[in-house]
Amino acid sequence: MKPLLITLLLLLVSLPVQLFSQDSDLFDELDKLTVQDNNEVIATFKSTRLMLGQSTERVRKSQLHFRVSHVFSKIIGIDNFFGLDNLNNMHLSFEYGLTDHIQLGFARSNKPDKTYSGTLKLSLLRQKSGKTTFPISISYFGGIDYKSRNFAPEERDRDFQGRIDYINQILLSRKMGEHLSLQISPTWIHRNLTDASSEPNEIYSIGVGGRYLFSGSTSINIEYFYTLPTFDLHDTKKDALTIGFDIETGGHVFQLFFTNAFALHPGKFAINQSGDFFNRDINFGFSLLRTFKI
Amino acid sequence: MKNRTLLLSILMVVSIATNAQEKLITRTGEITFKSKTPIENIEAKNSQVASIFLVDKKTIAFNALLRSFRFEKALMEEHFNEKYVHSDKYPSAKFEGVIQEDIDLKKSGTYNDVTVKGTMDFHGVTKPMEVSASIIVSQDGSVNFASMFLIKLEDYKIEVPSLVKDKISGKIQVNVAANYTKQERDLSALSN
Repeated sequence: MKPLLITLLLLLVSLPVQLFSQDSDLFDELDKLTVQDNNEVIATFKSTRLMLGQSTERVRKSQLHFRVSHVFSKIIGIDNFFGLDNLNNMHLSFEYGLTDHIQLGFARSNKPDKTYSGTLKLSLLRQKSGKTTFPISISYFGGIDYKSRNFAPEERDRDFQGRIDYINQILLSRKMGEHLSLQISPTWIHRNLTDASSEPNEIYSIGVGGRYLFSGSTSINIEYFYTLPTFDLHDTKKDALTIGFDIETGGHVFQLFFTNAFALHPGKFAINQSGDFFNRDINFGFSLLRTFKI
Repeated sequence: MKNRTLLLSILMVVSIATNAQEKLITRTGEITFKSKTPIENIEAKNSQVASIFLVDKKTIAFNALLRSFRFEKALMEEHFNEKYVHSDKYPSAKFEGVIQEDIDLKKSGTYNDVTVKGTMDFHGVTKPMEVSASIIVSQDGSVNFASMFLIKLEDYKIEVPSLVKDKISGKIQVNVAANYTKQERDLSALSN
């Protein structure tokens, strides 16, 4: 009689366990089975540019980004259709992802020096959440600018070395949550030749900015480059301040912005001395980004 | 006599236990989805779908991480995760269903138009779902599972902004394919 009792007991114990635990067990087991994706934080920003400056977002492997940026002249009134009559500057860039962490670029900026730029962006560390966490994303951006415009006098025009600037930036960003992301971009520009001998060759600037995502497809972005006052022409009021929007439409990102800068490449806008944002020296600009798979 | 009864009882219990363990496993199931509109076709594929198939119970379960879907354009992939499926909040899509037909899936053969009835858990919404599938059981015991169905985005509270309404279809075609082999059984012991 005893064994029968044990049997019944065992059955009673084992059956309900199996019946009840089946569903969650199955999914627990499935969770263990599932190959995990990397736990990198994605979509810190919508685009590889915060506004004018580079963000820590990257061009992924085998992807090509083609970007056209325009900036118009000062928004002063209906006479020049709020600046839209005059296209002040145009910037074209191609950026290609060699790997997920190495990006090469080529760009051409119209103003002020008909500048060609070769660029490199390295994604060094990514912000991570989950099992292994890391608080920020760190990227390096470097560029060599070649100013191709005519210079006077002729000696200056012939000086190839004098046409070249070097740009180095460390980009540090953190996605604070679904909506808010912040970035700091310490920037060092070396100019081989300056316009006046009193001007320093080295320029230092600190970019700070962020975005606030207020709908799935639109964010408001602010970016400010504080340039260290190491040269006579410097006027802190004229440091580049840009406020604008990212509008994402599937594969495209549109950026609309208001800025006191007219230059669209970091070698120039970080030392930009073109207008006081709070004295209504504001230009409207936009950029279109199209991505391709190569 | 007593001992024999005890043995019998233990055997009974053990057999129930092993029956429950009669399952097939894969970690490389594939789910693809397509959104077709006149303006743009969007396609994505996840080749790391985990699935368990309890042959005796005719129960099949899937788990797909949304982060593992690959798109042609990397930017789309980010937008998909960030804006549409919110994979930070809802990392995976899960389905569990039971085959309704009275068929013996231990016998090799092709079983078309099999009905799988169960629940889908996706984007924070749990909904009953019924799909049609075809199952091929090979002589070596490996099993091929394939299914195609449509998902309405509004059913799972996935909002498409008006700006891109023309580019993203409200009905998404989903294809599921899983190939279970007997050898993969022990994979459950593997950890990530």
